[in-house]
Amino acid sequence: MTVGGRNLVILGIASVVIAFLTTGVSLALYHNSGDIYLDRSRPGYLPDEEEIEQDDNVKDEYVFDKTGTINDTVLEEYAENLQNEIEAIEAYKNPFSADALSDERLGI
Amino acid sequence: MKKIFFLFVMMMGFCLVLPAGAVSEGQKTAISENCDKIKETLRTVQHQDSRTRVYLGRHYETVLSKYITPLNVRLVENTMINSGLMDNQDSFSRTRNSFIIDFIEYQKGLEDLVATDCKTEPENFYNKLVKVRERRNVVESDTVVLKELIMTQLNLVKGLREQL
Repeated sequence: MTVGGRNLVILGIASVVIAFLTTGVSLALYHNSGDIYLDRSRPGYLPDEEEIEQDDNVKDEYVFDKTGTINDTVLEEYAENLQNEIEAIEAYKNPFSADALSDERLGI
Repeated sequence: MKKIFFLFVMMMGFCLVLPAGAVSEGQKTAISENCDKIKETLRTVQHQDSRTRVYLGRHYETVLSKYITPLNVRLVENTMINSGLMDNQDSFSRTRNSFIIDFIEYQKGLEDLVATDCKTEPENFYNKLVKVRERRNVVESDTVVLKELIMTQLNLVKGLREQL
């Protein structure tokens, strides 16, 4: 093998080793930071079709303007829209309730 | 009398042998026998919780960035600083961050629980399950507090309207 050929092999091996190391570090950071638990794009956690359809149907959301005067009409509109948000949150009944991990549910 | 004394000693002995929260033999057997089914249920819970967090997290973000913060900015601009609304923004922001951190801790525990061999280590599995339940309770408490803070926001705005 020529010197050039040997250097090419060394370069190839070094590139693969560096790629493995950087990928390993990235995955470790991704896992240890907890981002993995918030990420729904990982395999097995992708949103199902029903959820995607719901997202597509979301209308332009109300945003309270940071500028302008404060009057009764503005605050009334604010309260009405905030009430809608409350209702959307309340639609999810008993989130993270203890029942899901009870002995009865798990058959223990 | 002797019988009562005997029963009392037996009960005391039972309490010493099986402290509160300990796993009974029946539970150990049930865990080992239903191991696969239990793990399947836990995985389903993992997925459902992930979905719930995204749903609620999105609404919490909307409430903070599109309602609570802009209102306070606008009130400051109009020199109508409301300490109640300011405090509520601070509390909501802090609790929302806690919700994310507590959810991560809960999911880490749940992942560790799913990885535990319940067929050969039922006691260890149950002890981990108890800890996961505690973490889940913390996440649930966060959602309750956040909902209360949104209700407080609404009431404070209603109060502000009356003052105008």
